[in-house]
Amino acid sequence: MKLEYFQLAMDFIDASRSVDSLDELGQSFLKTARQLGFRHYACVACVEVGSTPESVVFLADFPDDWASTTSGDSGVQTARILQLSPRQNLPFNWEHELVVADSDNQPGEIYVLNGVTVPIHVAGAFPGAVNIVGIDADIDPAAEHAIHLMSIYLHEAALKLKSGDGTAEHPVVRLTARERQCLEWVAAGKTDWEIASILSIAERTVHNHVESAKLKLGVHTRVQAVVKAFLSSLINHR
Amino acid sequence: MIVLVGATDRSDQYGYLRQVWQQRYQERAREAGWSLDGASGIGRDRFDGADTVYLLSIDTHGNVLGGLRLMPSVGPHPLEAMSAALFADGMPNAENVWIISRFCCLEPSASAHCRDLVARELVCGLYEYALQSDIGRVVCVTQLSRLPVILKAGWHVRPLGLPVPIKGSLAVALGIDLDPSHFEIVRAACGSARNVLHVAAAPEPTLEMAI
Repeated sequence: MKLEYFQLAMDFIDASRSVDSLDELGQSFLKTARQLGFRHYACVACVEVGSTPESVVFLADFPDDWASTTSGDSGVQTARILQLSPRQNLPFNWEHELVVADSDNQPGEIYVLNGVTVPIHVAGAFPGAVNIVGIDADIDPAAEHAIHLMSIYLHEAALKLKSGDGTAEHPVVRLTARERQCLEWVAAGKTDWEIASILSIAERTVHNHVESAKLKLGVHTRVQAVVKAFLSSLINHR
Repeated sequence: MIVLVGATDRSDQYGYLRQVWQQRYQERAREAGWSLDGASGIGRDRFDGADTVYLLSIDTHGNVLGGLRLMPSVGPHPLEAMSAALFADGMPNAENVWIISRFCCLEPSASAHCRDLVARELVCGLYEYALQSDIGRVVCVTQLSRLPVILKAGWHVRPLGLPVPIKGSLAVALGIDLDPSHFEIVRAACGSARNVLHVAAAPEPTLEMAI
């Protein structure tokens, strides 16, 4: 066993018992996750798509510079993120290709994100998952095991903080059915024109639904919207 | 109700133990693909000895719903044969540290809600027994996927090492501190307002008469 990884995990577990806020909890988790070689995370509840109750956990760190390019009518290059699976019991790994735009908003570097999802099942609570992503594919398995352990304590601490706080730490995002559908087709690489044909609505309407979803999710680009919606279990992969 | 089966009252409670061992045999048979027609075997291992303590969840009809097995860490116990990688600081070994094994709900078809109720009752019973018996800590090895459920009981659970892949799953060793100050918190988290542990009355002493 790599004792230093275990000690990092235990440092976070001990810290999770003494933090006073979800922000503090998230920062503590992210700090340790980065020491283990990961970059970003999301702790979410796997609830019915688009119907996130106020009481569920939502804790995440999303990068502002994750974006893909748009090239007019040729559409958005999107990438498949991950499929959260409430039926899984064991942590599972996944891979996702992400295209980052350059300063001219043109396709730039391609990153391959390597992620881990830790499913969490507790009777009487919504199924949960902690998704942790990194760039490096060669993360030590012991570091992964440490993040598995930390994720469970993160979710438990977040639940406790959430239940102890009468106000929501994060505003609840509710997408309409059309907004969800449009985002799912964006994630599948479809242009607004193609989505309009699929859904039998006007192209302008598709554009408005996507813009509305971006506004609700608090992001600037279509790909950021897809990333955040996927990690928040608001949409599924088509 | 949680029934304590110890060394001193084994004969009165043997029927309960037989249910546990029969169910273990049936589960083993199912896993191995054996036919259960007419099967009446029992599943015991070398740790089902005369001194092993059992806490069993019993319904009003005398059916065993679930149970766990307890033994001191200073003697032989099933965790000794497990991978040392599970324990970052070595296997715990002290008079007030006991080992939990075979924590289970016996009815495979029981709903998640029913299994949760049985588990919570066992947790309370374990805590009550530990406080009576000066057990300060219990240690177990379980599947990582069960850790969220274990944490939900509200007790103080510390991993004793990183998860280790074992037989297609991830196992983790846990140490659970049983501090009297946390008992009410755990009982509240388990939804119990009263003691659940039933201890059989001690046999009355026989009188010796000098003739």
